[in-house]
Amino acid sequence: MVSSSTARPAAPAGAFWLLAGAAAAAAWWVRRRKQARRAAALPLALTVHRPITELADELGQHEEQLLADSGLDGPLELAAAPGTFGTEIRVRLPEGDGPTRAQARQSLRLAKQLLETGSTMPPDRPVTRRRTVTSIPLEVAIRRAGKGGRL
Amino acid sequence: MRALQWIGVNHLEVGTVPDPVIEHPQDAIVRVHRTVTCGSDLHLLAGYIPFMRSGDVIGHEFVGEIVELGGEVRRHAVGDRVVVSSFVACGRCWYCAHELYSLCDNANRNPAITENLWGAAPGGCLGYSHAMGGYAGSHAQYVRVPFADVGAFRVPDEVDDARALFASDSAATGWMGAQLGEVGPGTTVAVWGAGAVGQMAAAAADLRGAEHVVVIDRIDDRLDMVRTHVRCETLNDRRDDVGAALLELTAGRGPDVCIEAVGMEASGGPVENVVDRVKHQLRLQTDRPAAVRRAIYHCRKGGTVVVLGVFAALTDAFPLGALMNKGLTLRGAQMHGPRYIPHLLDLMARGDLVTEHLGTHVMPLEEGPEGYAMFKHKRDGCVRAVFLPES
Ligand SMILES: NC(=O)c1ccc[n+]([C@@H]2O[C@H](COP(=O)([O-])OP(=O)(O)OC[C@H]3O[C@@H](n4cnc5c(N)ncnc54)[C@H](O)[C@@H]3O)[C@@H](O)[C@H]2O)c1
Ligand SMILES: [Zn+2]
Ligand SMILES: [Zn+2]
Repeated sequence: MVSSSTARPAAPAGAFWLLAGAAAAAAWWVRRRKQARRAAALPLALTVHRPITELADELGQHEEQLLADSGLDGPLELAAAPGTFGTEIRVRLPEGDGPTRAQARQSLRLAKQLLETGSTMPPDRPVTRRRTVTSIPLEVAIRRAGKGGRL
Repeated sequence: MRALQWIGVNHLEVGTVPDPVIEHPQDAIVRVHRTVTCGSDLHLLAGYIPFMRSGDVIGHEFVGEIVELGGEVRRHAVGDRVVVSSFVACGRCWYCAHELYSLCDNANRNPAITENLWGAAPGGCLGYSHAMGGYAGSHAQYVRVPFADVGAFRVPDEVDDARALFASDSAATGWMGAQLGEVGPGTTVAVWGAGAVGQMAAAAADLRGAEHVVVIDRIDDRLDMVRTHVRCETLNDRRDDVGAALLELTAGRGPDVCIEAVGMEASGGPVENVVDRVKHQLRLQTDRPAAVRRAIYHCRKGGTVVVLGVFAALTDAFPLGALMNKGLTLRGAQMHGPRYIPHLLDLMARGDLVTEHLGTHVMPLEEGPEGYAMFKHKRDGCVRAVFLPES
């Protein structure tokens, strides 16, 4: 008797925790989505180690190509970076259809390489001896390695 | 060409791969004379850096001869005998301009992997996984050297290949350890690890005028070797009471600078070992930091701990309390090769820095897998196995 009366609340308690867990997960997911949407509204930004005066000139020559490659509708915003860092470049992505953030990231990274070193480094080349199921996540990570990240 | 390839965890093979070609106008192609194993490769071999593709060519410490140049290389000519920095750097970004070459913004072709893992991507490294740029390594007949004007250095005629080889990576790393610790006259330095990196850190500390240098390991061959070539004392932590010895040497203060040159596969005390290994294998932590724990514990109040060993991501039982309450400075880095290599080559030419004894076993590249087995298990007094791709 005693044991059954103490055992009974166990089921509702389990269900409560399950529900609470599901609610927390849902709240987390909604928060992540909101954060991601807010992040997507921010411009992409990086710093190029060149003085702004020099860069403004040179970007005149590259900007069209850069924007065409990435499908951005520009313009690039330039600002002098603090201290010795050089120049900050920001690009606002157009609303709606258009280049994905991933493509734009790749283009901006290549633009920085071009502006700082004069050329771009070609991507990693595969020479694979053995493909296995466990290597699939790595292949995906490498494929996204220029387009993903925190830029 | 023939090359030593990573096939899978604890599995290397020598195979035939395409010859490298100039892919970028600042590249050079180098015919490899000598290329050597590094403790960092053991972490790849053991699978603790899970960004290797089956077939990747490993190796990042080497000396050779330039056989082909891209159109924009200015400082080199075909035929130059060069030693090359293991880390790849562009020479032009903010980090390179501040001599923080291993942090180069433009040398890692796969930045997203480490941006997501660490918050920002360091530069690239030859033969060191796709997280570090996916460059083919030097355990091969030929290797492509990106940004050759920045990373490759002409070896003075007085310095032979056997000595110059170690300027690539281990001597530069050791020198960086002493430099990050600001070692100079009057400093007492303790170094954990008597592999090539620890031995070179001890040599650098001595050359920079340290008062006392103490090297700690558990392999007597290695401790004997460092005592033979560097003015230092040694402790075997399986036999000696390291803490008591360090306190006695410094009259109760503790070493001013503690350099950790062991890395993520460190071994510790018996219980610590079991706990660390189980967590490591279950991927509950990615690193086993036994030597870092000791370096922090033994460092004097207000001193500096320098982490030269390679770590992948996360570690447990980190002595943050000792670090904070003793007011320590903690520093670490992948080595900034181009910053140190010219000076190291000068020291080598003058005979002040001797390194060739580190290459305890010299063998044809075809015997690479056996060379690594010997190096991994520290068999037959092996400190580093040197491969000759031309024989
Ligand atoms: N920062 C850099 O740029 C850089 C460059 C090269 C190598 N490394 C790293 O430096 C580390 C050492 O490299 P190496 O080639 O000399 O390796 P190694 O494997 O030859 O030597 C490591 C030594 O540490 C000793 N050891 C293990 N646990 C210890 C402990 N608790 N206390 C004292 N000694 C201990 C081993 O007995 C061994 O002699 C590795 O992690 C490597 O990845 C870093
Ligand atoms: Zn190395
Ligand atoms: Zn750079």
